[in-house]
Amino acid sequence: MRKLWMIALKDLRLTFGDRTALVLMLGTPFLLTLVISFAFGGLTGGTTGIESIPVALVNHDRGPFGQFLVEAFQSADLADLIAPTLLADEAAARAQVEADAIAAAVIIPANFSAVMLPAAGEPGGAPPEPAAGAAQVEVYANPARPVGASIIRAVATGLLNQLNASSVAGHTAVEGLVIAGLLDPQQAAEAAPVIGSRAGEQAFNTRLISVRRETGAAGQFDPGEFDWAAYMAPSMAIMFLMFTVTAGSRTILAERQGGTLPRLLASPTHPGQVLGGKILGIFLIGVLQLAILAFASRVLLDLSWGDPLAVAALIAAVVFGATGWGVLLAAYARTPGQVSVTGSALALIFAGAAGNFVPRVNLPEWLRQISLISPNAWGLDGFAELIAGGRLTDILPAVGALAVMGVVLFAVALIIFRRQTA
Amino acid sequence: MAAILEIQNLTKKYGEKTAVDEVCFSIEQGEIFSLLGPNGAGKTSILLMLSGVTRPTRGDARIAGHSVVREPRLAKSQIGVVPQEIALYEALSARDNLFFWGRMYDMDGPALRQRVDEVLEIIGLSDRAGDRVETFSGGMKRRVNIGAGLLHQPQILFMDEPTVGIDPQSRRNILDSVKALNRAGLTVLYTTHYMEEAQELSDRVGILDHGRLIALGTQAELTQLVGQHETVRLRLEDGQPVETVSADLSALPAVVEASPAGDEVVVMVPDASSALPPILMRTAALNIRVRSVEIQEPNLEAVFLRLTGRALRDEG
Repeated sequence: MRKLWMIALKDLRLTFGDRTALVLMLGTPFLLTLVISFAFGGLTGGTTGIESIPVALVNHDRGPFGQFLVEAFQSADLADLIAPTLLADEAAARAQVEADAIAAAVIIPANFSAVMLPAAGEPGGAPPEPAAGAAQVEVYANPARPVGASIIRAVATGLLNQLNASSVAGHTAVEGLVIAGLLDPQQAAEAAPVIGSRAGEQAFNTRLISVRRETGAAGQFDPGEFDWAAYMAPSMAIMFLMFTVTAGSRTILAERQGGTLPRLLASPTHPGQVLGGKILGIFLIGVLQLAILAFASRVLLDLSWGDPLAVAALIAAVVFGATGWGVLLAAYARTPGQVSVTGSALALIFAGAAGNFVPRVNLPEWLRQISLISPNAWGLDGFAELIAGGRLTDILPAVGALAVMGVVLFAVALIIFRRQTA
Repeated sequence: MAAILEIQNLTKKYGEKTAVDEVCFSIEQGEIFSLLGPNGAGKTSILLMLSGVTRPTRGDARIAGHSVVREPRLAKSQIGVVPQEIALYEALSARDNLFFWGRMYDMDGPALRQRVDEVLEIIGLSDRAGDRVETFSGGMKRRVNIGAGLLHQPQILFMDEPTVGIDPQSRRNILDSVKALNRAGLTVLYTTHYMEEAQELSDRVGILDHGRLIALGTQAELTQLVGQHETVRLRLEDGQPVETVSADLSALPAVVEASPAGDEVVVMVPDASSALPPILMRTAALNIRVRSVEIQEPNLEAVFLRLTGRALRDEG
């Protein structure tokens, strides 16, 4: 057992003495956590990174529908997404877009309400018709801010669709009253604007006019509430753990190629101790990597991964499962280069399939199920549980699955190693 | 003297290929024993079996009385191994490497510390002990490589072609180190394909070819296999009929035997100084262009040539 530890500690020392390895193991996942968190939501949680999109509203319309549209843009529902400014001068709004000061300008034409409101019917029973012509609300978009402009365009389209629905309802109501003889066509001319206005107001007040932001499975994931940094910190750590175990497994073949493995086997050290020492080394390096990243994100980013005891158990389990994959690679490959290439590919496939780049809830169900062969999937689920306040008992299924994964993979690797040395 | 190493019918097969074929020999305590042979002759395969890295297909060896097959751990603890490659952790210092390898031989504590200092002194690297091996020259790395095999004071040291690919000065240092270690009482099993090294170092030499031990003895015993004949090596210009020339020269009265070897004709003669003029006159008469002439006194190269019909240096 002592020699096993000596071999493991030697590998630990070699790895943590290698600046390049440290950059890959610790620096890169930490930086990626920062970058992705800033890109999608900042570091304080509850934001999407697409908040407060500056937009100018220019309302040329004197009627109620133009006002409804302005109020909808200024509503509390959109307050964290859009930062609207009401401008009277259309040219000034366009100039702000040109100057890249805002993402878009929404320009409501003067005839907007006139087109939307039901017009007066003709005397003698003819039902009222919509006003002639079309009222086009223009979204003057800033090409330098494609995401923000797209969102403004989507919001405007959504609002207009709902106003159109109110307009059609108004038309239908007036038309129905005239046909039923309950409303004289002359009276319809006076009633139509009132009914249309009420319909629009009702739509707004009853939150028919609202923007609902959804990504993926409705009700499960709200980017506005999603804490990207809290998700990305363990996510990137797990992804780069796979690179670490790949590098560790590579050393098994590199030692064989470099002559230190035969030299170890020529010493009075059992082959099992040599292999065990190498595996223990990979495991310890992985545990230290995740522990350091958890600690760093706690100290530097004020992110907690959850209950420390449960986090420790999950780290050990994730590293155990990942080490199993690494050792299997070493058993399967013939050269250190093969381990590097195969391991890197596997790390990226696992990361993509398990949800290291996007929240797992966004993945299709079938992919979520398949990705459970990876330590990434169980680890991400487990850490998400802990970050949400879960305890050790909540992550026991993940810990158990990872333990089984590790044992199975080690057993297969051992069979392959034995066949090779037979 | 007692045999420190006894090898009986040692055989290693890799699939259909026989790398080592029924090899038998023993090494006395205090000897330097060289295994001489071209690349691929089976030298490294024998060392791998003796050091317990691979299992013999057949046969056994006893090191200080311990079977490498049945008591591998005890047998391994009696040997020091110096591999052909630099089998060290280059990112660690020389001292840390020696500590690590010492621990792999069950050493620890003050005894290990003292022994590491001694070995650093022996290999002449006490002043660079704390430096990473990767900062060393090739020769210095070789010295640490040897030092790692000496830590546990083995009964016998296996050195597998330790001078391959190094500069002449480092090579000289290593050969001197081997002799110094032997003078201090260490038994050495040395493999090489350099005839000169085997001649300089060895008390006895075993000549290997295609996995078989084809000759064994002291240098004097081996050179007697080719008699007192000298060897004249005629290297011909490209495209010259080597076999025809060999047959023709064999007929000369001053020639004992002539045989082709690559682009050379190897001529065995009782006295090179008197045989050379008629040989060159004959080649001139045959209109054969000779690029170079080399005269060798009886040596291991000649023995190998005599036994195999091939030159050591030409084997790959």
